[in-house]
Amino acid sequence: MNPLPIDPKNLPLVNGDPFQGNLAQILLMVILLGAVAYLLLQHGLIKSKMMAWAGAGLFAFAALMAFTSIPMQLDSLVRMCFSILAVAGGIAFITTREPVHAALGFATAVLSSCGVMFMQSAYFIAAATMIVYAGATIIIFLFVLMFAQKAQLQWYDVQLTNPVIATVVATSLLMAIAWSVSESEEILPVKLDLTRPYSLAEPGPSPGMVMPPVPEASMTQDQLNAFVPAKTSGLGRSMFTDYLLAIELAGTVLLVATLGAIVLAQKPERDLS
Amino acid sequence: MLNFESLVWLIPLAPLVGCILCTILSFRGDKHYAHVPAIVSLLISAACALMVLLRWNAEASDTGFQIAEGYRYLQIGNVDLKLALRVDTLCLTLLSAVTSISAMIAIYSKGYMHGDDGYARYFAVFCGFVFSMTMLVLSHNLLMMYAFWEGVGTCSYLLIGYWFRKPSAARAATKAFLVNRIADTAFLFGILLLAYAIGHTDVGASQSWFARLDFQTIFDAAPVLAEKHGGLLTTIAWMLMIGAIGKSAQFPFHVWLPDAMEGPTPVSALIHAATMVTAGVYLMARLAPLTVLTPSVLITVAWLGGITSLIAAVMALYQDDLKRVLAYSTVSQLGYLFMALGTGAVKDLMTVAVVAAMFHLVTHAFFKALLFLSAGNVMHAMGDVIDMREFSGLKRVLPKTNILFAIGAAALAGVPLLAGFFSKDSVLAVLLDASSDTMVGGHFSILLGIGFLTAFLTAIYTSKAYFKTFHGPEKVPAAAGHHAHDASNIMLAPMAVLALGALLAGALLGPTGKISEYVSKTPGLHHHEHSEPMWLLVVSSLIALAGVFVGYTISHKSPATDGLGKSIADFGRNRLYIDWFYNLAIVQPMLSFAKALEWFDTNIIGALTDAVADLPRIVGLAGQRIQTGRVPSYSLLTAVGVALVAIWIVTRASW
Amino acid sequence: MSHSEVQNLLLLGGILFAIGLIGFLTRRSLILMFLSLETMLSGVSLNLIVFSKFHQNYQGQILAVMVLTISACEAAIALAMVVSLYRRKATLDVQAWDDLSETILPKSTAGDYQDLEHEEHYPKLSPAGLDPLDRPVPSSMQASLDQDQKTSPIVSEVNQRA
Repeated sequence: MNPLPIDPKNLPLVNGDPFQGNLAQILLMVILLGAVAYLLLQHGLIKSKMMAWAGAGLFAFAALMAFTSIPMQLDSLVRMCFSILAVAGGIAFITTREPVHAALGFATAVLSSCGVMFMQSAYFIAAATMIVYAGATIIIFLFVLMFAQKAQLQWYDVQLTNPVIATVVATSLLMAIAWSVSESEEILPVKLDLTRPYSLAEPGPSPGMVMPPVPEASMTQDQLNAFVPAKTSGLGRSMFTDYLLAIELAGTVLLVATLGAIVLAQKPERDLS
Repeated sequence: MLNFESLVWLIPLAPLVGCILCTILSFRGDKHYAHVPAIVSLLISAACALMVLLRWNAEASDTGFQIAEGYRYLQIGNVDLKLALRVDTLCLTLLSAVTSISAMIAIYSKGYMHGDDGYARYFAVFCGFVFSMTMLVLSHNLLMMYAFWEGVGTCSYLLIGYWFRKPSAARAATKAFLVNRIADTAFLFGILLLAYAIGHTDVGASQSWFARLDFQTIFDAAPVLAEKHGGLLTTIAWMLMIGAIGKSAQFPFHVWLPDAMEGPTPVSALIHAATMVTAGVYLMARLAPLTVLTPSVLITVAWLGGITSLIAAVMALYQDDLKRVLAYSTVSQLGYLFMALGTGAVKDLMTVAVVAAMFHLVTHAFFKALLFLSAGNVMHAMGDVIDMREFSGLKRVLPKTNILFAIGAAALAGVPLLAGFFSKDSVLAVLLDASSDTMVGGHFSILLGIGFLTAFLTAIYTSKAYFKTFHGPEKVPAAAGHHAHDASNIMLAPMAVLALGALLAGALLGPTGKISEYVSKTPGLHHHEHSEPMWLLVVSSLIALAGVFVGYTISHKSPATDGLGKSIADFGRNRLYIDWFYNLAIVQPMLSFAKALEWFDTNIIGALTDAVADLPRIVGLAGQRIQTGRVPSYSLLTAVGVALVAIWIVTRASW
Repeated sequence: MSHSEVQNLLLLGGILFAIGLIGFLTRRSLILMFLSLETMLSGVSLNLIVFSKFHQNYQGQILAVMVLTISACEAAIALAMVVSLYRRKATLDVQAWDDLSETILPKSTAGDYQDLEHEEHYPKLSPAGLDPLDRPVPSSMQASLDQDQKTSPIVSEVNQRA
């Protein structure tokens, strides 16, 4: 992690520009990825237990590294491992014919991206995603699969809809994303905006609440580092002060969705009379 | 004791309350109680009218009229809109006749309309009519008068078409409404033109348009207008006159009234004989201070009245339908009234003319209502048959109706000492006075002749109808069944009251000079001594008696089947071919025009609209292919859209 | 946080999104389609978190929490719908449901799957808005009317009093 410059008004976090002049190569890479994706879609991922074990090992290594204090130099290596696992899991998910295997691929992709999130200091999100997606959702999906799945593979498990067009569309979307990401010169300077954008409370400190400190020019590097939102408690404070209304609404939506799911999944009453 | 203004306001408001109550009852499909609010409210109204009439001398101010202020509903700047009633002797005369006769007819209707499906609806419209009529008579403002003028027209439409499932009734209602519409349009233009003209005089320049049409302002401004803009005033008077003759069914607008007999008979008695059709006469009398300044219009009015009275009498002579005879007789008598009003063209004769017209109006209202109700009794007993060829000699079947009809017929025929005799004589007398004028006397000499001729014809057709119906061999149509009987007491009692009026009203009001003294108190009119020569009474008595004799002799002769007699009879029976001519000259061209417009609408406008409507369908055909209803295709299209937008966003800078 | 790191992680999010998109567009099983949707959402969450780190505030993470909540809702409802759809035609093929297609288009696979239940169940409404004097009550409605009258406690109470 690069050291933060002193002047908080103008904090050009990004100095290097590895993509400079490499746009064509990136786009080419994306196209190649697309071609590979199409081929894999047509023929399926190599069905090999070796691959699965290699993936599991890679994941274990990356997770171990992520949870231990890692030296700065290994940081990018671990991130690379997680990224590769996420992409590979995703590809496995969309190419496997067997639905249960596809669900496992999905789990791999989600768990790996959770690792990446973990490394981005989003501890709470990572944990919640793991619980919700990799835990609850996958389990329920598997239940439904068991409920609905026939003994042998169905026609609709094997056949794909419009694989060529879908690949082209997704690839071009990815190209657009890559292009926009690679526009290095216009990348924005970081603003340490710790003021509260939307709040139910009156602006200003309320009694009994410790306001987050504001970065100042006179601060040392260590003090400035403290502003990095690494703490789950900071997220919690922001959630229940600045975004209280939104969070409450989200909870309400969740409740309504629960009720809706219960109503929808009910068996129709046959015996009306 | 109520104060004067409250009494005046009660006259129109009581029927309004009755109308509202009956409307509520009609929503409940009532068939038994709707007459109660109607009769009570109309009796209250009649009582109030009579009380105002009796208290008038005590209340009258120097100006000769009273304004009963009501509700002021808008006041902005000099715009001052208020509901107010204007009371003077002219309107009280008409008002007491209208309210008392309508109360009598409402009582009669209780028996006549018994058990009808639209019982409550009938009484609701009935009360609504009386409300509109009283407001029309009491209006202090010409525009307000116009509003209620249309109100009575609407009620008349609703009552003519009361049995709206009967095609002939629906057609008659439409005909009455449309014919009136033509005249009313002219009336409205006349009102607007009058307001415009008054705005250009000193009297009305500073007033709002509404206030300019106040009757007092009109009377103040009329002499100024006549002096400065005589031509304009004549045009206005023409327009107003067209409105009046339209409502009063004068030639050439007379065609709607005989058809209006499709309504229930009490309605014919009330609206189309006694009250509403006199609104035109009332309008001319009300505006006498204005019309007196335009003698040419008054002469035209007199001529139209004369023509109408004559041709209507001829047509009445050849009708077989009892109610139609009475209808044409109404038209003819209204012609008399207009003749009388027309004599106002002669200098200083306006007051006498108005008095004569109002006198005949009141007496006519009594005996014509009586006649119609008697005809209603006949119809009731004969099972809705009203053709005189189908029945005869009913004097034993309907003994009481026989007497009542005889009284009414004698009054109409002008038999001496009955109501019609005196009032008709006063009309003839004023015509006689006018004929001695040096300037326009020639016109009125001819009109006097027409008056005598009409009186003769009236006596003939009245007595003919009476003798044909009640005398001769007894003959009852099959539709009556075997239980043809006279009407119930609830129907006969109000008729007896009307008969009393037909017997005595003339003698009480006319020769004693009461009506002359009373009506001439109206502001704008001046009392003039006026006497009828004795020889006129004698001549008209002789004419009436001769007519009755002729009518009796021809009543049971079969009509001529060949030669001149037949062609004249055909001419009369076909209403002088006037309806036929209107149909040919006005209705058919309009229908052809409407057909052409319909063709244009269907084939040009309709086709254009269809083409525009087809456009989305054709466009839709192009997009139809992608509406597969399947999730994958829709999501694919969405993804394509997202990808295109993303590409556009990132490449935007380089474009 | 280096520039390259940000770029790489954003690209990773994009790749996950694209994979989910391909999966959603190509797979025909309803369940796998919904899993693909979740993959796309996870890519988006990743991007938000990267931006949160980049801007050094909590806004991105808050948004990610929102995405998480909504995706949980969506998953619950989607699964409930999958279950009730499966009850209808005993298949997870998304192409079995093309009832909304234009009539001129051929029904590709709909014929292969038959409705298990032919009786439709709608909410039971009281027969309001019908004027019994004007129009005859439809026989189906009449039956329910009678039934209501039989079963309604108020009606039976009134009958007992009578």
